[in-house]
Amino acid sequence: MSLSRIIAFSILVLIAVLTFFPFVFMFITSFKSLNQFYHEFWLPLFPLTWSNYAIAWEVVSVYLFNSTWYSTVSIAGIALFASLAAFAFARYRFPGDHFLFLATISLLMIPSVLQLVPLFMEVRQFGLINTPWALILPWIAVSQPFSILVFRTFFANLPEEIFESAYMDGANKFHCYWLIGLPLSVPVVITILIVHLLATWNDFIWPLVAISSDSLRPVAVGLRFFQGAYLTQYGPMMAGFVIATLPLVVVFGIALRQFVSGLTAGALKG
Amino acid sequence: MRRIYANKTVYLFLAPSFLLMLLFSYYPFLSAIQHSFTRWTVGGVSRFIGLNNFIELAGDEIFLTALANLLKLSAFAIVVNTTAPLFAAELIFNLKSARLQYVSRAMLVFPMVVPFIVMVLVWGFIYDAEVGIINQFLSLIGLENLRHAWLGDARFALLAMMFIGFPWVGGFSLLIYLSGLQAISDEILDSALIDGVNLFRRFWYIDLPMVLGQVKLILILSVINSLQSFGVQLILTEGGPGFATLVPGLYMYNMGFWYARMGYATTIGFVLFILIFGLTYLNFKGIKVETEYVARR
Repeated sequence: MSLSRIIAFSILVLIAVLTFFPFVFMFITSFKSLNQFYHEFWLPLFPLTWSNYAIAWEVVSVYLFNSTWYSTVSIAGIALFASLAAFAFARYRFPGDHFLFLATISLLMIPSVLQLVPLFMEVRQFGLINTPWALILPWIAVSQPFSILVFRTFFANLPEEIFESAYMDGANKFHCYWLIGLPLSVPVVITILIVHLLATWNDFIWPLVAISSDSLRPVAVGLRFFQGAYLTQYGPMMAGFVIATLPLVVVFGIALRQFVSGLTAGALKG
Repeated sequence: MRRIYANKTVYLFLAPSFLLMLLFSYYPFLSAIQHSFTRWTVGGVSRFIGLNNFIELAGDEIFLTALANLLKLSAFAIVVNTTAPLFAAELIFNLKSARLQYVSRAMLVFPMVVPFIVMVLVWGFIYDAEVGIINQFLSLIGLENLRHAWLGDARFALLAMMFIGFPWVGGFSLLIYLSGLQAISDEILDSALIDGVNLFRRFWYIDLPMVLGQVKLILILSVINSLQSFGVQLILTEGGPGFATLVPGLYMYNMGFWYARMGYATTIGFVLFILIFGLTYLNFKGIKVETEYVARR
């Protein structure tokens, strides 16, 4: 091992330590009572104060449950609608196809900050403010352009023969999508699901204005209010942070390989 | 007409997407453009007032302060978000063992799955005036006189904002860069090795030109992201102390949801849109030139 490689490796280790330290600190502190926290700031202390987790779970579990179902419904809708539209764009020629596709991808140029206020006014007029649909429907809508683009690239590269033989056997267009196109696109589906799981889970500003009841808040917003309520109770506060982090870590752990390869492939092709 | 009818299934495929996009993407966009020329009350009544909002905005000291803050924050964010992950990707790429490469990549992707809100709140704790990690560390090494209320002191607040996420390597950009580096053919790298090209020269003359496409992607994404996001400010400082960390996005939010000036708020959004659109366009043009330059040399 040459000197430059040793230096390079040491820098990498340093970067990893700096990246992880805040989260390790969060984890350690989540097991401390207030006395333990003031007694020893840096190191873990025994006995572990498990009650922090009981306190945090009581509040944060509601937000976690909300986020789980909002995100699940949203990403299912995103993948289903985007793959349907992309299949139409990729496999068929029809009047207005170019115009509609251009209209779709031009939405990628519009920053969401511009739509915040008008979207609020509109959704309130529909009477959807402070309901789950105020989150789910706009989330599905804003995710369409990117997802349609990624799905279309995939569907356009499929050989025509597999569909021709299906038509011979009497399949219609929906059969071609549902029985051939969609099953073949599973890697793309997984990529789209994961990207938008992160996006919907992390959205903060829109749920802050669209949801006002505490019992309906998703975790991104709920945790902010939880932190405000437990401002100086560092143990329960950090336990809440850990609880809020765990679901994504678990999903990520299961789908690590798909996640990494899917993200990079999708991003470069898109 | 007959061709449209013949394709009715295809239009049905497009219907759900387009219905939702019409309602929640196109309509708010057009509504934003239209209402930036109006006085728009929270009750939904709007009255056309021409360019008055834009004129008021041009002379609005608070907005100009916010814009100056944004340019500083964004310039810094764009530079570190483009370079730091590339640096880390290059370090990982140069590891000899494939196993170590995999482990370090998996580790540095971890920050991506920490929820945004947790990341921001943990950084808020790091900066805490009483029990924050930075101040505790300063006390530990005997530099108590350097303790500050990092987010509460107008001299440091903007700087503290910039350093959130340090060392800025985790996540998506790192993955993009790594995949770019791994796509460089082994032949090129081997011949560079045989010619005795050192690491720094190889980075400059081989790796960097080869990942320029990735650099461009990350650059454009971080321009768009840094100019419009204001979640960190909203969570940690609400633009304070004073207006030290205020950015136009947050000012827009305040105008709309605190002062109920919906028209003025959409005008701020409109100006941000023009700014982002212009810079993205420049990015597309500017970098193409640079690619040709590198290739010609």
